[in-house]
Amino acid sequence: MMKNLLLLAAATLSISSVFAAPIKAPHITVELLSEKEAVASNTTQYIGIHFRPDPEWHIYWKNPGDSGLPPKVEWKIEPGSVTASDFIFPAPERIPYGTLVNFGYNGDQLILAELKTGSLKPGSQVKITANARWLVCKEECVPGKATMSLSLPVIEAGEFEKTAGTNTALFKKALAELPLKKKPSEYPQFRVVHEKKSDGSGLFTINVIPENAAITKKYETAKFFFFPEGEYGFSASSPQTTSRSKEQVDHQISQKEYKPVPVVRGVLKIGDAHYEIEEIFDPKAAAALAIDTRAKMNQSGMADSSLLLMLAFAFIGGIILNLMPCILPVLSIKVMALVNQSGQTRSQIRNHGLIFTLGILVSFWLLAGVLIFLRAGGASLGWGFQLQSPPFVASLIVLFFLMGLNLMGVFEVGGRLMGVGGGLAKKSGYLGSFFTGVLTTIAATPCSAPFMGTALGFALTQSAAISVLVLTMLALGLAFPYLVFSYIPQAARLLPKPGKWMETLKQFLAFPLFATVVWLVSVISNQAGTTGVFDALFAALLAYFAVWLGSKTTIRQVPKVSKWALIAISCLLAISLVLSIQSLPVDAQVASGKKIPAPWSAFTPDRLAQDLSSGKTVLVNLTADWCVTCKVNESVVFENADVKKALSEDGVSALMGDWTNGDPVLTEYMASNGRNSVPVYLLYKKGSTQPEMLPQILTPKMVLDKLK
Amino acid sequence: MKKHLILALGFLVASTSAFAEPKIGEAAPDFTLTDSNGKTHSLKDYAGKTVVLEWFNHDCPFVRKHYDTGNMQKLQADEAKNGTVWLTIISSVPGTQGHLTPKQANERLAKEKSKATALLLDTDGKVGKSYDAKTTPHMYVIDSAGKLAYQGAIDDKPSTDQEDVATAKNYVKAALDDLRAKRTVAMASTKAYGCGVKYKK
Repeated sequence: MMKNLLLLAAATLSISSVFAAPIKAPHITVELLSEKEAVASNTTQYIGIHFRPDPEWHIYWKNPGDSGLPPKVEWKIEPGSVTASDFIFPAPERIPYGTLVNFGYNGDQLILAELKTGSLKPGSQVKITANARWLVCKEECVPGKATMSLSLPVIEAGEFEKTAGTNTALFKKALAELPLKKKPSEYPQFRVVHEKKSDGSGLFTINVIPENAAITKKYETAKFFFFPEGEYGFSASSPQTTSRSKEQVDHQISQKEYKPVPVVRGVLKIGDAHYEIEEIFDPKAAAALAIDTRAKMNQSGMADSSLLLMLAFAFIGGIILNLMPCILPVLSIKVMALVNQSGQTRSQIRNHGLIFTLGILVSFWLLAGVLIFLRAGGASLGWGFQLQSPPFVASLIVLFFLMGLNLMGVFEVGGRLMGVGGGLAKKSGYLGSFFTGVLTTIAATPCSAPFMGTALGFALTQSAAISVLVLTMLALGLAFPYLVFSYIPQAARLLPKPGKWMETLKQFLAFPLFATVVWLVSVISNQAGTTGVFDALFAALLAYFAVWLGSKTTIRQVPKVSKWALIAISCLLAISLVLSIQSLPVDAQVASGKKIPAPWSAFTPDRLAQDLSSGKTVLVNLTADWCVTCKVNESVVFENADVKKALSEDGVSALMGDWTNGDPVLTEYMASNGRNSVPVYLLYKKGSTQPEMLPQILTPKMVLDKLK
Repeated sequence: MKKHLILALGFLVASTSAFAEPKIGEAAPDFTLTDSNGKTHSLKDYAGKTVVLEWFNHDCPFVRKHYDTGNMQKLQADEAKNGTVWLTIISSVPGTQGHLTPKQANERLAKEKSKATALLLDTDGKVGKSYDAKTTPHMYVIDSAGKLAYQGAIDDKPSTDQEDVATAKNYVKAALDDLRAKRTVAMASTKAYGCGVKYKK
């Protein structure tokens, strides 16, 4: 008996969680519904919000018309492998108010969204939460919002087909009310023509060609009306006229003043039937418009995301940055500093940790300040912009070269500061820790770690205050492991006692530094050609000469004054060489052998629009020479034979954009997709203008799956 | 032939019943209206001054968004310092939402702490129709030469959320700034958002 009662209770509970209770709001009841009472892996079904306004009250279509506001929904779904689309609106009605016209729904309406599932574990639950907002009006308008949740159990894929539907009649009706999409080869055929009339007005003509040569009886009497999706220079209350000839119907709408538009989209009502219409007049502008709208959506999306979440991301990103290949050269310095600490007291070690953190924080703030200042001045920049400047790369070459030599033991730095980071960082005092922090920041910037990309993209679109806050969290994340280490005495005790092994380790750690120099030389050769390489290496040589002179306390034959004069001259020469290095003009770079390897083609917005309008699947890859993550992805994923083959296929276009020197067109394109650093991987499926952003760390399997 | 004639006639009738939409860059339609204090105002009284027209309905949630945040009043006050004439207009016909008697209108002005020059009562909706005012708020900026320089939404965030006011780009302010700097108004015409104006049905 008890068992049966328990089972009944469990069953009731599980059923009740499948349905979200309807929510009563002023003049309307809203309810979150799903098509089926369960989900399975890799399936699609419809979900939706059932709006039930009071009698004589109405809600709006995506274009509300002369006034009003369309309903919006924000989905939050767990787990992340399940996604829901934005609202898919059924065909609207024309709702006049005197001479004003609105587009919306009188009476109950279920507005659909598509639920797509990825991999799910049978027996688990999928939780769908909808934050919906709307405007419901009769003569007066009342805005409203509600949060509704629904839990669906995950069942085996085989069982899914047989699962009962919930609210089947409602979903069937809503699906039947969706406007019909007609392929160009299907009837009725639609074509939209736009003319400028002699009186300066514009005229849109929608030619409707029905199946039979002679227009059917239906078209003779049916009422035609065009519901525009966007702003095309005429209003909801503009007159629309229909004229019928033997073979076709012409439905016309005037623009008071001719205004060209790149695209016209909307729903054409013919009697009881509704058809989706789209005519692209200017493919480039239409694609640009889509990118722009998406950018606006992205930006507002980010503004809505919780700041706390972004801060958490930034912090984690900072920690992960410690694992990135960029930090490797500085790792040498860090480890040396750590090792040096084994001879210090606990409080001293803690202080070192704090000061190192301070070094990182100060450098991040300085960088943030510079970025914000330059952005305000209108420069198109992104994180890592420093490495787009050849003089900066050359300075790093000089710096790391000297640091490597120093670690090798080729020269010792005396009590004097040389103004070179390596010497400063090697100082075992607190100043050393501070400059190690600074150096860590400088080395970290070119890498765009997974969380870092999102946090940075978000931060730099927000106010200066928020940008600084996010970057502070990033800095703290970067310093975190080191800080923890210096605070936990047990760990510090694990540090080995000083000994001869320290010298060997020090010399060994020079090699990552030299490796970085080699890489930076290859970067500068692409940016500034052989002249750039010559200038940078010669500057490094001059700098070493100056250091060598300085390290010799006395040279018997040379008076002290002359020695210092020589040092000064060498330094000045080195600095001027470094500053004189200029980027090669872009075409020269391509000519100098920097080719874009097949199957990739050069990315331009025009090329993207062209490929999209021919219905191709496009993979956009934005990279830079100094972006290590990009290079890793290149060798692991894009060099993979299977991936190369998939990208060479007919319906696929692979576009590569080189951001090494900060091409402003690319910066803008990245910004419109919510990002400001590389790598950026965007996938446009089959000509869709809404791209999917791929993660920054790719695998061949992931890319192959996405291209299918 | 007969069918075509009927169609043509229909078209004519349809087009004349449409609003006579004022065009950007052309003379703004003149009007004469009485304000909440019984005083008469005509557009030509303000020749040589920049004039802002603001269509208003005190209960419309979109209007409330800008008044409850003080956004509209602040713009009115700032512009008053610049010598701009700000005319708030109610075109709601009697019996509809937003309609106010002169006494109620004054009470409303005080309650909202409005800094408009005057609140005009367009009780038959004719002036609203001459400007093709569709929503509340619907904003118009007329330059000192009497030409229409801006028409449309107050800002770029069509919503009823008060938080949007702070981050939205205010088109009216931008147009007024452009006029003062003697530049062409960058965004001269946008789609207005709000509740429909309550004209006679």
